[in-house]
Amino acid sequence: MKQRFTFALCVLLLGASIMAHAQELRISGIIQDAKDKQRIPGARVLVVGSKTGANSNAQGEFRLPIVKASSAKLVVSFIGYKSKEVIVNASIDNLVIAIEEDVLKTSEVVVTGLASGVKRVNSPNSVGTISAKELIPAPAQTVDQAFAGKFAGITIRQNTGAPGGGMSVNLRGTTTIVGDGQPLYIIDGVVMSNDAIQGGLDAITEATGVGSTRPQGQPSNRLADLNPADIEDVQVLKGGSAAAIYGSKAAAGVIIITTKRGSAGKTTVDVSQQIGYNSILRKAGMYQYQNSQEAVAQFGANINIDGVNYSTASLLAQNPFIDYEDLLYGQKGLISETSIGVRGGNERTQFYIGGMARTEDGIMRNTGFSRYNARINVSQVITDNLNADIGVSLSNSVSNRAFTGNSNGNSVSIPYALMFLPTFVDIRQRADGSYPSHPFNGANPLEIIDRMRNTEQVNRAILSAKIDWKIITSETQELRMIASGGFDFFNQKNLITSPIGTQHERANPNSGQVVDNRAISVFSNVFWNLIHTFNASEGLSFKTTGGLQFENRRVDAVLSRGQGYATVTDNLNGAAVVNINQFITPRYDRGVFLQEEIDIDSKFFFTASIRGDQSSAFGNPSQFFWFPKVAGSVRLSQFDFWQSLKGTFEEFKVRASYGQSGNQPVPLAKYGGLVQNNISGVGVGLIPPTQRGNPNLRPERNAELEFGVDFTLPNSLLSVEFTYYTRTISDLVLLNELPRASGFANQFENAGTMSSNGIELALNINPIRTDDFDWNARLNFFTTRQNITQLGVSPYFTGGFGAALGAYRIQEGFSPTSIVGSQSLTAGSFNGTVVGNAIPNFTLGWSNTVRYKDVSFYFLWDWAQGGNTVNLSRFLSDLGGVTVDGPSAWAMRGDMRRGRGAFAGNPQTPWVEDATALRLRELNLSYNFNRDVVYSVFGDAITHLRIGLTARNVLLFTKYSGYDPEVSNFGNIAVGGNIEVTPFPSTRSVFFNIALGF
Amino acid sequence: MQSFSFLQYSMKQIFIPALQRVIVSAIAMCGIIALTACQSTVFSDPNAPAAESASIQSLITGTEGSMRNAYNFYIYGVSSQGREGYSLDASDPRWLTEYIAGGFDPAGPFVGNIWQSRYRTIRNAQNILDRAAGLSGADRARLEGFAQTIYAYQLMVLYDVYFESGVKLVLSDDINQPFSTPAETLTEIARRLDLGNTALSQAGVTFLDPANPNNGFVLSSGFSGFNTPTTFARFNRALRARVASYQGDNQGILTALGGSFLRADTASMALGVYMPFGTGPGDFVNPIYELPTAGVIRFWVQRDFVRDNPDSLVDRRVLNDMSAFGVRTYTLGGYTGSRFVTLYKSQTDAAPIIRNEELLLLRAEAYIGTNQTDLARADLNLVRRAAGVAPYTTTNFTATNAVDRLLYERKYSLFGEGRRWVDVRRFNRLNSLPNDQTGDRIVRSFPRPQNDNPGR
Repeated sequence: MKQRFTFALCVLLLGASIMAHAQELRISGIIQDAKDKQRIPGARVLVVGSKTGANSNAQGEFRLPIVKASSAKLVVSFIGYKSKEVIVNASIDNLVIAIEEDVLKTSEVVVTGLASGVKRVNSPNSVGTISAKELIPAPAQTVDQAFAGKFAGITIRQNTGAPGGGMSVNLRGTTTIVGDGQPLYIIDGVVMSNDAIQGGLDAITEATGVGSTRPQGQPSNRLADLNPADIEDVQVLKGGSAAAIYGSKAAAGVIIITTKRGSAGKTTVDVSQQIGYNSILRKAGMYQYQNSQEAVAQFGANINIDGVNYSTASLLAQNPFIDYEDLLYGQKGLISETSIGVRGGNERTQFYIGGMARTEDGIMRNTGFSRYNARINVSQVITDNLNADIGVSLSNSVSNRAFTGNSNGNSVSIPYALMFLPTFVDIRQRADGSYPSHPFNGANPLEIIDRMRNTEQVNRAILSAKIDWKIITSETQELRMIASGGFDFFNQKNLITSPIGTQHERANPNSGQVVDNRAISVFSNVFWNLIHTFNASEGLSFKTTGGLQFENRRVDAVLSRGQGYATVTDNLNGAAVVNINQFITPRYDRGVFLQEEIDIDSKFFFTASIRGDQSSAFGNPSQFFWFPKVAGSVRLSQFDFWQSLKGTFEEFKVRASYGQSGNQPVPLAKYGGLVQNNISGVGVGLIPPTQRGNPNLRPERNAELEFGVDFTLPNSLLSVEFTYYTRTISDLVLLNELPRASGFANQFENAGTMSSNGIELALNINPIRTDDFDWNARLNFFTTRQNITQLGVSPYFTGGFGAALGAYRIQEGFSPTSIVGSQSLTAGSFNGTVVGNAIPNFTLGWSNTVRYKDVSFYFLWDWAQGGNTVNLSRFLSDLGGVTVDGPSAWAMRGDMRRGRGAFAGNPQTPWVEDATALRLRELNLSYNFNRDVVYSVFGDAITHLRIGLTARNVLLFTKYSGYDPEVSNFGNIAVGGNIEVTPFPSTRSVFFNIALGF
Repeated sequence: MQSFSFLQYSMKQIFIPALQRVIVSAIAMCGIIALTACQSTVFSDPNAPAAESASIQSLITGTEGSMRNAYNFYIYGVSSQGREGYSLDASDPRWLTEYIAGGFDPAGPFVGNIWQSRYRTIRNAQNILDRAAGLSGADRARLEGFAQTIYAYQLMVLYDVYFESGVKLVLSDDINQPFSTPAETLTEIARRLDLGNTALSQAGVTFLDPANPNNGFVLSSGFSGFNTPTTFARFNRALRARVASYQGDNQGILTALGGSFLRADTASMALGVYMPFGTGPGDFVNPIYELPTAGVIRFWVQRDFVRDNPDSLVDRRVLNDMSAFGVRTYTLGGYTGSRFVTLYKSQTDAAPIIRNEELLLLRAEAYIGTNQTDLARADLNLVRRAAGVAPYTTTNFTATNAVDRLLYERKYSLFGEGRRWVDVRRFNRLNSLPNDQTGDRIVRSFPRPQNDNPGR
């Protein structure tokens, strides 16, 4: 009824305005918060149906230009608040418009198209959003760290605890088996690189060959370069249906990041300083030998150090227990983070300037991370019809990541060396500065920390530009062109030095090594969209978008390795032997996009779109692949019949969405050029690659059907978002294991189908909301089930280090993340036994914000129930005789592994452990000084002042025996993670902070 | 026309305008795409040359080079099983649990790496044979002579390692290709060697005809002295003699050795064909070599190996290849070593494929098998004199103990060359080999690699 009435009224008023066309309205007033009556600067006031509008100034005041009408409908909008409509029938100069904070985020605009959005209450998809405030309640080293637990459907895995990042982000489980399972990142319309470029660590640790398809170099991923404080909001298109608009790169979801904009009015400056420290989150512990018999049984009567045999018993007598974990990981690393944000401007030009300097030391000596960011965003109204936004961001990231992870040869990995270091053998630096040799490993970990360096430096510039041109505007129609795009350019330099004279280099005939890796990455893209809006009548509107996308990505990396030096150096010059590898990865994509959106009375919302993509990554680069989408929502609470239920469910919406999106094959997988195997004195030798090229590769196709029900209770008490999705990923690209008797090891093929389904539940509860006391809780719960439903190749094992040490099984009827072990093999054949799964049964995130007067308290728990991680560190430390649980446990696991003793004929894989973990991810306790207090002390000089204590990774409860069940020796690999081989331990960070504004 | 309506709008009111607008936009877009579609998304492999464009020389060198891949897995694997020496390398416990203790994981690299690397070389040899098929005369014969010989040699390594598990005699993607029996494998190896030998006899005087360099090639320093069709054929025949010994064909051994490079002379023990190593770009160093001064040594001689040699204080084979380098012991996982393997003196030392010392021992074997004990003793004594130990006499070398003596000489002469395990296996003495720990076992064959097993 109300709608009809409003409609009639508008028609009436419109009619009246035509009759009385000579009338004018002069409107000014203030915008304030409905609850605390604080004035709100920067809110936007618009006259509906015209281009007339104004922003409120620093005092919350606004003044509209003269409106040539006898009546006007004003819409006030401000981020984080529900928009409000006010009808004005006469000139007024003290109009007070009170807007209400949108606690449950029902009116925030979420993405529906490449250049269009819709209010959350109408959205046909579940779109995860994180606002600036929610993103970093506690400082995060990298942005992805801060995503964990924030919305349903996201799984964050920290591959390594090394400073500078190395995170894997998965939306709704695994979307691919060997492809890039990481979401697409778009920042202010720029396709942003989140590549994890191998820095060359494998060259030193010999974990695997340079250029391997499953590298173990534990690289950082380039999201690490972003300043989290620059981010205004993050929107997450979780899966195939919502992300279909991004076509062939979107199967793993899309994360859309928008940075802060300026605002008209008084220039505001926000400054904050954090001081804190890193410490090890949890030690794994090491075994203390009880008596010399025990030690002799393990290591023999003598232990040889630097050519001298020492009696094992006397060594134990001298040093019963040296806490090497403490010596290696015991540093309390200082963290300092200084952040500044400046916003200002006038009605036509607005700017935001952000800067951050973050430096931190890691838990190992000589490790750390620093990042310097600067950003300028300028928005300019060029004409009334033409707006431009330009953003420039510069960053410099430097990390000292040390040597961790898997290792072969001389085992130049600190935690690896630790796995073989008995706690009674003293290899600490001698008084003369030299280091004793590690008697059971090729390198001394203390010497590695002191003398070797693994540094990475990235300089990056991201330029974004957006032009919004209203070509035609009329009462009923609008034609806009929105063009956005930009460049993402960075160069990465890794320098790894292993100087002469160290234990492992003394064992190296070409003593001394320098690895110098240089990568240049240039991404550029243009999204060009025409949007036509047609308001057929009040309440019925159509929006048509047509767009073109051009995306070019090129990474050029040159890895040089010098060996054999006469002096300590970090220069390639002077090497006796230099080997160079170059990897060029060009990818050129073209897309076309068409979308129609229909809004009927805010009751129904429909959208349909299709995107076509060409890419150089496809076997046939000129073929278009098409990705359609249809979606709709019905907002039941807008119907007349719902009015009686309004008191129970204020908002109620059902939604459904179907869409397809793609995942490009691994770049260059279609090629299979010969590789070098040279012989000195003869020259170039060429041999077939282990991986055979496949010129017929197509993108993977993720077809997803999503249903949901969203409702809110009155008075912002509770909002619920429930989603069920089911998806089928066909044309799954597999790295098929070929019979080696073909002469090749493997080949990428489109040869499988995987189905997944899951439920997601997001609750936002605001049970208490008074002026003094406010409690807001958010709860995210989700599960994922996956299954391979069809496989076009013979089933195979993949990932890990062979089935006996925990690998993955790719087979029809099994989950792609099934972990298998020794017990899964009978006479060399798979017997159907699955030992574990990398994916948890469910994941639950629970955040709470409690505010009492000026004190607020926030915490975030993250609980992953079930799932497994393969702890191969323990496999090593059992052999090394250092696992904390002692010789009988080692012997028991040895028997399990080899099928002896109590396990005769029944070998097991004891390294597959339960990864269930409950973490207190974030904690924030802050005190906001009362405005009056601040004023009385500082006058106008300071507008607000806050102090607080924050912490990240505060607590970890798990039965897992390693440092952290969240780990991956193989980095961001889609299937094959959750394998631990002596990683960099996870850290806890605690901060004191002070923030003020003026 | 009435239809289902949403509120006050008919379907027609909603969908017809929507459809019209979409169609108009689609036409416009297609026009723009047509204008921009000329952008190139087509390019060739930016990082590696295509197989078709590779020169014959590069394929030959690549084949020679890739024979060296996984050499450490091969030597550590068969030396451990032959109880010659152990890789006590902490960087992967499976050097112990699989190679010494015999707990093989068919799905892991310790079983699969040797297999995969040999087939990769075979694939390259097959590429050369495919090239040869397009040529004729001496051009063709050169390529076939080389490629068939190397093909056969790679199969021989596979036979040594996978023996009764079988190998696949056809290069194929088909996982159901059968595994051969040992006898079938030997027949195939002999066939390819003989094809190669025939081709070499038609290959002209040199592998590189200056008038026609694109169809010729040069070989690395590993083939020094064996780098013409005639001399290469002597290498081919040496391998053929080894195959005959596997087949128990004593006359075959003698026949093949007749065409080989056998030289009955104490100074020529090292004469033979090798795999070279180097430090140039794209080359790699001998993976078995270790600096004797390193803090931790990997490759240790099995603890009984030197003890079992009564002449160990003078036997040059022990003194050169198994060093004590002072008093030094090393224990890992219950395996103890006191001498480590010093077979190679530098990281660029070449590793033997087959050399004269083995040919003498093969001839002795054939003589023993044909009851020519004195001739056998003469050959063994040549080997012993070269090693600096006293020759056998007619009293301590008899027809009864001849095989024991032969295996003893082979054990020390061919130490670290992958022969010991194969020798005791073919003379059915595997259970004479020691186990350091209870529960350790010696296998007759490495298991079938899981990826090639139809039941994978």
